[in-house]
Amino acid sequence: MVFNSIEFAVFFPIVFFLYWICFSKTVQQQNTLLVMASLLFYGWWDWRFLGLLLFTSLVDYFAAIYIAGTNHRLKQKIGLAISLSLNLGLLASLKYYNFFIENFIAAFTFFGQPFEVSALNIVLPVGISFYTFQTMSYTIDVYKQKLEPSRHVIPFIAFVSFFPQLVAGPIERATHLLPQFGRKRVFDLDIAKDGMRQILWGLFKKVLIADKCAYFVNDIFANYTDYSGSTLFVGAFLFSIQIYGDFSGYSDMALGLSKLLGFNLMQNFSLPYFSRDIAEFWRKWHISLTSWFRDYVYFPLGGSRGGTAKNVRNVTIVFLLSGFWHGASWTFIVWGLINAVYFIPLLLLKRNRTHLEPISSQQLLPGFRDFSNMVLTFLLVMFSWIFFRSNTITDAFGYCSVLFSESLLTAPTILPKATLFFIFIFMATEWLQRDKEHGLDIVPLQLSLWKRWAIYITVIFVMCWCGGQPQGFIYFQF
Amino acid sequence: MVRKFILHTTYFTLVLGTLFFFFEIGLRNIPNNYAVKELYIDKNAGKTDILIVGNSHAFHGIDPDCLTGNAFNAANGSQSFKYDQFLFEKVLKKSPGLKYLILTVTYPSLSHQLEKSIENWRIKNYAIYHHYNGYPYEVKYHSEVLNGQLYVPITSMIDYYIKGNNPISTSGKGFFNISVPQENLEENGKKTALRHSRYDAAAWRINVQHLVNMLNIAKTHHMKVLIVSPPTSRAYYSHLRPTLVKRTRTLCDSLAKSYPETRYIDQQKSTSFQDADFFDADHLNTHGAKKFSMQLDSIMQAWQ
Repeated sequence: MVFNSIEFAVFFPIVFFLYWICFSKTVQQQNTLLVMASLLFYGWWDWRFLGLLLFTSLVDYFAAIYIAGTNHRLKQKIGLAISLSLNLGLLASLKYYNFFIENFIAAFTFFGQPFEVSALNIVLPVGISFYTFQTMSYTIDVYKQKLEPSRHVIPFIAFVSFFPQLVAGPIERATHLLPQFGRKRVFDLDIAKDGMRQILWGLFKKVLIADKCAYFVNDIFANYTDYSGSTLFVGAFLFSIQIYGDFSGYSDMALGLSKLLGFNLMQNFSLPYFSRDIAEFWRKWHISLTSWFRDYVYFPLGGSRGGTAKNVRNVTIVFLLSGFWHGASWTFIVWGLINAVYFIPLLLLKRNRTHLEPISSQQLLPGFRDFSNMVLTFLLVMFSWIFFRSNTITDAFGYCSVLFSESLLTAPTILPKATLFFIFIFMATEWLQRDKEHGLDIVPLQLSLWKRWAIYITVIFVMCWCGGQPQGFIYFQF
Repeated sequence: MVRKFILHTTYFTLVLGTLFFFFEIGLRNIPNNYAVKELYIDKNAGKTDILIVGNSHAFHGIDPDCLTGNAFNAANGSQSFKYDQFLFEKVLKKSPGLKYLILTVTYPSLSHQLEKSIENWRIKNYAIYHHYNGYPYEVKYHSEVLNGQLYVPITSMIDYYIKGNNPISTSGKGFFNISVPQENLEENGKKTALRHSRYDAAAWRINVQHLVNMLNIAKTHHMKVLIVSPPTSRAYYSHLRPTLVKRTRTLCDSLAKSYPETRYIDQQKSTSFQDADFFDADHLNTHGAKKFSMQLDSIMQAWQ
């Protein structure tokens, strides 16, 4: 079930009520309910996925205890290796097997040695890329002695399967989330209300922004040869907004739901489209994944130590892996490579940590320089999204060849004014609320109850008024 | 604190629910074409000899009053073949003596599925007013408010309750009988042809199956079937993709050959229709519809 469905609208209030009224006496009761609710939530997609989730959770649970229970470095490494090979092996076989086989065959055929291997008809378990990374970070942190292993299986399974963030993140660190399962959650009215507001904001982004863009994006990308370059520009722009609205909207809902249950999840997006350069963008986009790669790939590879060449190599590897994480397709790998190409010049010029301060702090509007930098960064990111969205590399290059033709200077045949208007309202709200956690954080305005309710009801009505045709969440496919 | 939160949330939900309830009732009370057609089906389907199904090309293009016999136009804007079949079966249940089925197949219709189009808000009209039960658990398809395109009925609300306009644009027999000013056919034709030039293989397969289902039902009931592609303006058909035009025509020809008492009438490029017969590049105006309907009537009369 997805967050914006009727089933979830029935499921969550029941869970909320049971959690805070019936199962609230001890932390064990709370965790037990969360495990049951999370397994029900996940099993609703497909009950066959449950076995895999529980199996990997238990292997990592025992692996961590084994690692912490011995001082023998080799045994610790064996424990870690078991956990990593299981998680990565699952990902490789379920997500990447067909990709490797197809490319293997293509390579052999290219060299005149064709052979046939059957592709597998595999159903990719929802959220596997997210929860395997989450549990890998757990065992790695235990191995590095940053964290004591969990000695109680229920809180650990609750941590892995926690339904607000199970299927599309944020990819939580055990050092941040696991301790929260170790103490009894106490209801906080202000946090709960803020959680509701954040859920509403997330729904707004998903229903009114992302889904509205999706209709035009699907048409333009599926039929790019029929449209002018200017229309393809509109398509790329709308996809940039769609993926942001979709994914950050989901993250907002996940954070809001967690607040209602007394949990604090990490922020996954920090207004990435207001970034002044690519480095800043990657500090603000899908923060949980980029920080994961930084801590568990970039730093172990040596990070920025070992000279410029090694640093460039490490950064490139991280971006390629990040692309590959998204899916078994060359389009994602090329997308990662393009972002590496954007990032490396900043690295070489030592300008990858220049914009650390909040943008236009204490100012209503950005200055000309900041605005130009934002627009340029957005255009670069938008271009890379073409590869991310296209079905094949051929389509992506085809799209670009039409985009950069002379028809780019003609009037677009698709220019959805209503959608663009809502995008403007959305971005303006995010800009004005850039120092808040989310766009509907209106507490500082100190409005009366009825004025606040009027705002919420208006948002809900506008979603009903002009919502797009419901689409799946983009990141569920990863 | 939890109880206070639950109480506040409940109050808010009640306020929201009440607003939704009044909007829902207010919207359902507005007369609309689907309700008018359902009322006709309910009261008069038993007397119907000729049933017309299709999308807006049929809704605007075939006038039942110009056909000999008791004809009813069950076509609606963006209606896909799934709903054509549904309405055909519904009318047939009440009128087992139905003699003719006029089935409209147009250039975009075989790649069109209402669920996937930007006008999927219309599905709730079938569920609410025609009692279509294909989506029992989809609340958005059973609600005027929750179908995600509230601005359409809201503007109807303003038109009806505040301006006092009559929202009905259909005659008693289901035909669009309002005169609308002509648009710029050249501009409209090129844009519309481009928008319509999508080939969706999956939709095609599903729609062909619905067509075949309807033909099989007609055959079982010894009905005559006219598959028609209504006239379009030169500004429209000159921008169509020839491969897609050919694909549609080939399919309709083969269906007409495969089923007894089935004929295909392709008037898309008919020279009998001039620009003055259209209100936009691919829709006949009332005058053009009369002309076309009388042509169909002569064909049906000669066929008997």
